[in-house]
Amino acid sequence: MLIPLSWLKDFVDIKLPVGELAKKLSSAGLTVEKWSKDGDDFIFDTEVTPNRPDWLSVRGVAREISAITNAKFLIPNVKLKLPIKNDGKIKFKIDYELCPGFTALVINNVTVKPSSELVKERLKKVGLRPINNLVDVTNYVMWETGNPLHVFNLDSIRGGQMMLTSAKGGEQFRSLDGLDYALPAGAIIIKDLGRVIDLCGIKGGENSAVNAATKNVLLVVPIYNSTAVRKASQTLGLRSDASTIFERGADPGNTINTLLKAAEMIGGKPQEIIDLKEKEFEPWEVPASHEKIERVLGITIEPKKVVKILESLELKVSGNYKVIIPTFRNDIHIEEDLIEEVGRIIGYDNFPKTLPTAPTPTAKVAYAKDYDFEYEVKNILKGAGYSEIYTYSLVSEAQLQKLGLTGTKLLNPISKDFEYLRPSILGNLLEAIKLNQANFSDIKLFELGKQYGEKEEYWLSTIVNGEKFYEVKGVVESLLKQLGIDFKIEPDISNSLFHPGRSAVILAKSRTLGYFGEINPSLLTKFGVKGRVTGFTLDYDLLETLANKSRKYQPIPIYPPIIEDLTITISEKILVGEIMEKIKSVNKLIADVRLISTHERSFTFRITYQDKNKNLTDKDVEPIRKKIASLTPRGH
Amino acid sequence: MQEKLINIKNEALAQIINARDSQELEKLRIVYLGRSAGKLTSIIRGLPKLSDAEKSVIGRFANEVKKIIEDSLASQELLLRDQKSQNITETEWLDVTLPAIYPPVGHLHALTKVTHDVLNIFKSLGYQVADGYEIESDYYNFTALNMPPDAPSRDTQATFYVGEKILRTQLSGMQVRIMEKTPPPMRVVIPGKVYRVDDVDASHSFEFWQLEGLLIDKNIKMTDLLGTMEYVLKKLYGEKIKVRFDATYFAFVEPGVQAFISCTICKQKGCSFCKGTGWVEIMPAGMVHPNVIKAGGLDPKKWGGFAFCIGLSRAAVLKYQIDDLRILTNPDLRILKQF
Repeated sequence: MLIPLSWLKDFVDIKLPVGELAKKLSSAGLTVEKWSKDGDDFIFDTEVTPNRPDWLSVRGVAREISAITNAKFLIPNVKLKLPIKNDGKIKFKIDYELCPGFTALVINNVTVKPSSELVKERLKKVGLRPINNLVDVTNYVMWETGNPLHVFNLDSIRGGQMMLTSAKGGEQFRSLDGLDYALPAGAIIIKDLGRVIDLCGIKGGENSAVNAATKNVLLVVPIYNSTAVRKASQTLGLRSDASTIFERGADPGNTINTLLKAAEMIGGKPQEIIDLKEKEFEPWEVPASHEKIERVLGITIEPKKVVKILESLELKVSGNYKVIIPTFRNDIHIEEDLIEEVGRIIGYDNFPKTLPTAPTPTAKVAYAKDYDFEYEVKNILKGAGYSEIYTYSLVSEAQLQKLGLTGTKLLNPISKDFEYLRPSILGNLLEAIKLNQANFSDIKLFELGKQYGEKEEYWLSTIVNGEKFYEVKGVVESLLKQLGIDFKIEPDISNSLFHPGRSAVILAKSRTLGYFGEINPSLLTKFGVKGRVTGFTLDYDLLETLANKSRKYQPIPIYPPIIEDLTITISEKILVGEIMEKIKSVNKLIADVRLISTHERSFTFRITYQDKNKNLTDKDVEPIRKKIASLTPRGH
Repeated sequence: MQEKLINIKNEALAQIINARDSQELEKLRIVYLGRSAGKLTSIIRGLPKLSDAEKSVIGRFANEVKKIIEDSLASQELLLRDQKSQNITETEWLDVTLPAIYPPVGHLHALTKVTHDVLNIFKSLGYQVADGYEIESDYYNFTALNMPPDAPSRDTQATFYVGEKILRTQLSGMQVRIMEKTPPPMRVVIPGKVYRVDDVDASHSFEFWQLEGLLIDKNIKMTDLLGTMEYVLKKLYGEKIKVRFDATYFAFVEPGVQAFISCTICKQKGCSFCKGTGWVEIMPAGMVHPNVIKAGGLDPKKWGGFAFCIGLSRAAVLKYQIDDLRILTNPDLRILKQF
């Protein structure tokens, strides 16, 4: 919000240099984003937090300045005095749920003309366009007091009646700037005889707007239900300076003063004030204890300083402490709110800095996650030459189609590129390969992130370019072994993302831990990836569960092993891995079976026999050797 | 006989000293000490034929000679090896400036590094680490955090909807979830991804990473929060940075505070990243609102504490002087290799 320094000076003495004042305001919670010179004036551009409607006004900011600079805050008296009386000339019917307060005034014989130079200049400084004295006064007084006003052309109100109610939905409404809206249900509206004449708190209607020929007006200072204004404003995508204030809550205790200030500026013949409300708007009391203020802030402070701070904010303090909260501070309802007032006026930069002295809690927190393990896993992949990427969880429908998968769709995506929660990380990895293939011949990438199906799960996925089945198998096996996970690898055709003849499933504790292999060539074409691509994908949550970090030292064998090579011919389609498993399970003395060379379907295995308790002799090995040979008919 | 031995010794030593390589030395060893026809071996083998008196004298001397020849062979071998190693400067020269053959080199992402750094700082302060759901209920993301359905403060966090649920706009919902299930006191940080409906540009994104922190204990003070924030920020960005605190408002804390650090990119000279102010908004925080403590199932009269948030994306950007948030989600290896 734009606030000119000169306007503030109507209410408070300002001696501080502008930069310093801006810094102090920011420190107290009213952020001054920037300030700029405008002739011999300065304009502050403030960002107001949603709890402070009072700061959406020149007077509210002036009040804050008086508190933080110890300067006097004074609102000049309005000279105009008018009696309060509902004269019944207009028949009002108000829904007080929607409008707890409705202060209005008929002014006859107004003269529509340009505003004074001061008003025009100030409106321009805050980014508003001067129109005529009537419209300008409502804007000017709203900016100054924080109470939005509206002015109706009294003679255009049909039937002498105004009914304030909520829209049923679908009513047509043309705003005073000539735009047509279909009103959302629940929006606060005023109807005269058969017409909607005001979209309350947001925009006035064209049919009741003042114009150059207006003679008599109805000036209103309403208090509207914040939620109703906010909802209508959101549904319509239509915000105004007034709606911004109403959403946060306009000051119900200041409607008459606001009305008088505006009436005084408009001139003409004001009638009697109509002040409609169901009940009075009373200030409320919030107690606070000095002990708690000191305990929560962690500082010692004189009680009289506390009183001084609260009173500088126009809160009334009695005893230790009963604090009366004025109607313009609807953000203060509990003791903590008062503690904040004391803290922020002192300024947190002036606080000592301490660390909690309580002993460190040792009970494990709920939802705990082992990020050291994650870091270890990532470092293993880094050591294997892989680079880590972070990609968006939101992906396009086009990517899902290429993958042949379905995803969870957002109800309100920002664009076609980011419409779905990804069901697989592999899509983004393939896009990453495509991005890099022009610049790099050797691409190795991984991402550890969430995939979203029935529930959200962490998956660890990698991708490398090239025909590198056994290299990738080595990386995944090495990773699992370093993590202490027992696993089994079996041929697999169930995962459509992978090449049906060149992929495998990784099983651990008879659960599916993941898949690896070449990516299905049909995907590569769709993603525009050249050559072959290999990768693996692991259920990371399961990986973390299965990882076994405990290690037990095994003494180095003292007796030498017997090592011998054995060549076996294995017929087509018999899985070599299974043969090796079979060899290994022949006898406990077989410590290791390793494939050392291959010629067509002849495989030479190096077999290590080892007994940790004695020297092995050929006699010991002979029967085992025979048994291995008997596993395949042509073993030798 | 003794004379013969002396001659053999002298002859052997002379030849050994002149030997130029190991093969020559091995030949000499065979000539003198060879098992079948070595000159010295023959003599030793002839010993039994000698008289007993000669046997002991010659025998001992022959063994001495044998030892001298052996030692001489060994020392010459060493000498030759030494000479050879001097020569390899010439004979085995390599061009050390030719390009190296690298082991596989991978790279952790900037965000992983920053997250790791931040977590280590908090672990040193006794915080544990937790993880939450990205697809969250409106209740935990807003209502439980003192942001009822009509709260205007919700408008500052434009939300993506997924069926009945939402994509979390902040990690603060985990404050309540963790309080519900953890016996107090507790200290916990939660890193993770959050979502807001926002257009993508150099400083905005619809997905970004944050770290939420919560401390619940008895008699926790505002000064503890300020001290914790200052400690963490200085650990992360260096002792030299300046830290500033402004009062601010978040529905789920009271009082609320925002920490700023002096801009690490322009050193407070003013740049586009700090919008010319020299200060960067870095860590919103506050004392946990009594309503939030209640939502977590604890008694606000007994328990209190503070909560804070660090923008991890922003922390990475500041730490590595990255001028565009989109760099963090770009999988171009030319970027990844820099970290």
